[in-house]
Amino acid sequence: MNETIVTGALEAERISVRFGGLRALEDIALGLARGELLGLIGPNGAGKSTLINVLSGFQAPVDGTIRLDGRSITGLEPHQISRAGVARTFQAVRLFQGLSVIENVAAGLVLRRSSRHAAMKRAREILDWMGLGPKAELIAGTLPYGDERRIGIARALAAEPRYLLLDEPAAGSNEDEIGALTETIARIRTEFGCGVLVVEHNMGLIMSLCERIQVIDGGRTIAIGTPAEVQRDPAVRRAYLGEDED
Amino acid sequence: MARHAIRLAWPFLSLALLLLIVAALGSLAPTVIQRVITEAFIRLVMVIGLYLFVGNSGVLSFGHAAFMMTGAYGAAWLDIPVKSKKIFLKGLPNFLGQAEFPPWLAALCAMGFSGLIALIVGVPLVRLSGLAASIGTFSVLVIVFVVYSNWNEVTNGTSSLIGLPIYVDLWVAYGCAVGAMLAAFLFQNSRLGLALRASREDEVAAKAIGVNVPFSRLVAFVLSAALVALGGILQAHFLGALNVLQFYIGITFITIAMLVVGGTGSLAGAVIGTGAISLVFELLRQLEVGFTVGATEIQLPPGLRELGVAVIMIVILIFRPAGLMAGREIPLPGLFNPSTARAP
Repeated sequence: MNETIVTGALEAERISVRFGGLRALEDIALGLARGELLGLIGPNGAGKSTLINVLSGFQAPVDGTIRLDGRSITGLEPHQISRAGVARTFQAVRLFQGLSVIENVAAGLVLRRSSRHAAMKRAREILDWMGLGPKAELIAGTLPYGDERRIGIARALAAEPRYLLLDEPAAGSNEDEIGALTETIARIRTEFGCGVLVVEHNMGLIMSLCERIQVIDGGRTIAIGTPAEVQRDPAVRRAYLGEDED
Repeated sequence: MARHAIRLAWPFLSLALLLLIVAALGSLAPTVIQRVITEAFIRLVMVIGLYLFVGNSGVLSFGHAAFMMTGAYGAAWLDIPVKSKKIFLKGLPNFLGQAEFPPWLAALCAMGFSGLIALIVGVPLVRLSGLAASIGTFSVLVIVFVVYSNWNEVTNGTSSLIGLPIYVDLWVAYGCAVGAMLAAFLFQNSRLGLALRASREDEVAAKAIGVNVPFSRLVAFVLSAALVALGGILQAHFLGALNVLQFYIGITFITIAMLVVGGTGSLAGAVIGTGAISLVFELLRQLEVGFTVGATEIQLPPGLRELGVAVIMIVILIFRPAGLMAGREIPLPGLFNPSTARAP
């Protein structure tokens, strides 16, 4: 486990979440260091999305603490956590459909820049970086699915995160798109210098991208380690790889 | 540079120009038509005020007529002659009862007062979303209506309040409509306006990028209330008389119809919707009054106006749910930009 962190980290400790009688997360911990690529995997219903919701403030845990670079952010509103430096994407993307692509990206930047002009300039840089420059003026809702996913990531980057949480970024993408996406995520880590947490069902993407993988099942951590370690772990094979051929 | 400025401001400039043409033509027309156009401009101030909140936040408000009421009565408290106040408004506190403000100052104060009321009721309201928020705004209207209908000492109750200085003519109404459009245009292009429009598209995603949704909504709600109040103030000082029934269900329906028919998604929608419904309303009113074809006199039954507007709204909602303008602003002529302009 990553106990001593020098550069700062997003840390969750003893997090529990219950929906009625259902225990979605049970005493779970997670540490994401700056500049780290951490994969979070587990079978459907394991609690991956719930954990992202907890880290981004959308789900209040019944117990546990979340610390951002040592400061507790437990119980803050989602917009406060976003401004503190934790950005996320959504499995369902959730673009601002009626706004233009550049407005989707600039909407987060206007809150972080002194003028609208400066925000638009930075938004254009991010779009160019993502290869979306030529589509900046189009209405987001009219674009194909693959573009939507990348705009979702560009929008999260516009929140200037120190920690970026990607919720199934490859869902519904084809092999070519997944290859490009893997490369983009790796470059986000090096060029934006943020810690990236990737929740994904695509094992190829996770195994090639992440240096560390945390496996959860039934709301608990069942294994944590390098891709090779995790693949060898009997508990993981039993709970996950054995049932899911992904 | 000048071209750049024109391109940026075009959605506003084009509409201001359009209204200028209407006003200029109107000023040459007979008084009756001038009055119709003036009333349409006053409605436009109300609809633009409503648009500033509804269009940017995506939360439909059924309660904005409450702020027309607080605005109109607030201004009346300040600028009705002292003699009339002694007869109709015995309950006014001394500093109001003895004073007679110039109309422009009375209007500003009443807009501020309405903004303050909006701030107070807005704090809980902006935490609601969807239908709950809309019902919440409607209950504000009912509360304000009941209070103003029964607070005889300062509102003259359900009887009319008369003796207001009449200063609103075609050009005053035009100036206020342009001012309201400018305010709405600046807001929708502001940083807060963009954040609020993002929350209109997806509230959850907006929170995730750092938008404080309740706060953004509250700012829009207060500004919108002040503009809508100006509409109420203008109407009161156009007619010279004031009655609580002017600012209840009827005006709520007509202003929402105007906004929905034009499209809630753009400033141009608010303007075109107001124009279209005003035109239809006026034509149907003529039919109600009666006209003659050859030797036959045709007179259609009263109530046709409201019915007609309702039918138009239903037709628009079915066939063009985003409204006549469908969220777009007026496109820039090719002179300035070859590509087609869109909503900001």
